[in-house]
Amino acid sequence: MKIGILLLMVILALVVMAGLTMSGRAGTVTDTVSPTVTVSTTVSLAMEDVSNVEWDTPHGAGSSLSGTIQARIGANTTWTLTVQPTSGHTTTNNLTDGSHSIPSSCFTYTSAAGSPAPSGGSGISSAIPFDGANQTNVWTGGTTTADCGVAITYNLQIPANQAPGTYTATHTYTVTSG
Amino acid sequence: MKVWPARVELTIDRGETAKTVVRVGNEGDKPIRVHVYAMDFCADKKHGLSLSEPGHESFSCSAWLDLDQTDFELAPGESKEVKVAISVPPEVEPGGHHAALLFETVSLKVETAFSVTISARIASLFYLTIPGVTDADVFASAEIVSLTMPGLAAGGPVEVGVIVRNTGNVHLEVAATAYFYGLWGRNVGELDLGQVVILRQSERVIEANWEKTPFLDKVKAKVVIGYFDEHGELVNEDATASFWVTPQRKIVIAAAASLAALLVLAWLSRRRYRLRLERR
Repeated sequence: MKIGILLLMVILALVVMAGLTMSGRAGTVTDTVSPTVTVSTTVSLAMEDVSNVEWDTPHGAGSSLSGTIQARIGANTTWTLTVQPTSGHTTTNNLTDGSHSIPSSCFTYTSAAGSPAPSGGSGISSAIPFDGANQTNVWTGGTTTADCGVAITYNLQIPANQAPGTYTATHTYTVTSG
Repeated sequence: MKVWPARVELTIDRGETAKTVVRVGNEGDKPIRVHVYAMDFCADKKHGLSLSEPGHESFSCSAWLDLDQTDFELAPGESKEVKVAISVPPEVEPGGHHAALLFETVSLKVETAFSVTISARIASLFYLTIPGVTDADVFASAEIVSLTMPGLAAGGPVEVGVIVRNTGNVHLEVAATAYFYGLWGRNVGELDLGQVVILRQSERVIEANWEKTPFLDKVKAKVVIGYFDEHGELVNEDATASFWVTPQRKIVIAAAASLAALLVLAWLSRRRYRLRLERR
């Protein structure tokens, strides 16, 4: 009798252990998750130090003015930066006071690596005039970058016979991918 | 200001309308006013991008773009979606069509004695493929027009490039790599020239600088371009050209130094001979 009860208890214990083991296996369920994200081509642009090309004190005819602004660019693709005067003199987009304009040959720019420097590409080392009819290159062959700067130095030579007035223009910087 | 995607590629049937979204964000610490508009564009041989009024360029699709909003303000850190509907006319040539969607920040004009108002804009370039009646109506192909490299180089960096013409009727992304071999055929270098998008019936230059040139060698450059055709198959084309790498300045200096050394040796030898004669 005692042996029978003991045997029964052993069998019961074995059944319970087996049941726990099986339930433990059944409780272990695995599945997989596959995170996915689509990253688009992304470009950012900010123009800094723009007040450096707002020469607020009056300057005499024949004066030379200069100023440097910086373009800050971020891109996960190759990029190009260009500039074009988009308003000013009615036909040439040169600096104008509404009646007179300053010839484009007197208003030139160069560009170089700013801070932080772009990791690839090149700027304009020899001064070239702004062109109201076309985009002109500022930085070509730019490579992927989280943040870089391109310094653009403006040089304005006011002709000695330039009529007095307040001369303005708008220059639009464009960054494109590829 | 940030724009994404900066490049949109879609295939749309004639007479159909497709919709997409381009997002713009203000990453600065001041509010900005944004003006959105479409323009034509083309890319010239030397990477130069040229923008023009809608309808000016052949294969323009700027007139097909319809925007749900064109002027809005963004607070610092705010971003917005611009919904773009592209409606392809029923009668249009199959193949590639393209346009630029421009996001421009509007700046306040400053009136000082001489001042330039600076405006910034980012282009999201749209490349559309319009299928034809048959698969053969759209084809992608390119050819190498010529290689650009010097005949003689003093050493690195050497500008190496390839002019590629898109001979297909759809835009093409072309990659190029240059392989360099020395006089005895041994590999002396490799240069990734990069990749560009070439519009239909256009040419572009793909170039890079080779820095680590050999000291003195006749270099044969093999430039290989690669692109995917209309079936998605990889196509490679190649062209070769040779140039000399001769550090002329260093050779002249070395030759001058050797000549000077020889002259000094000759003088010393002659002097020693005279001294011997005098002793005798």
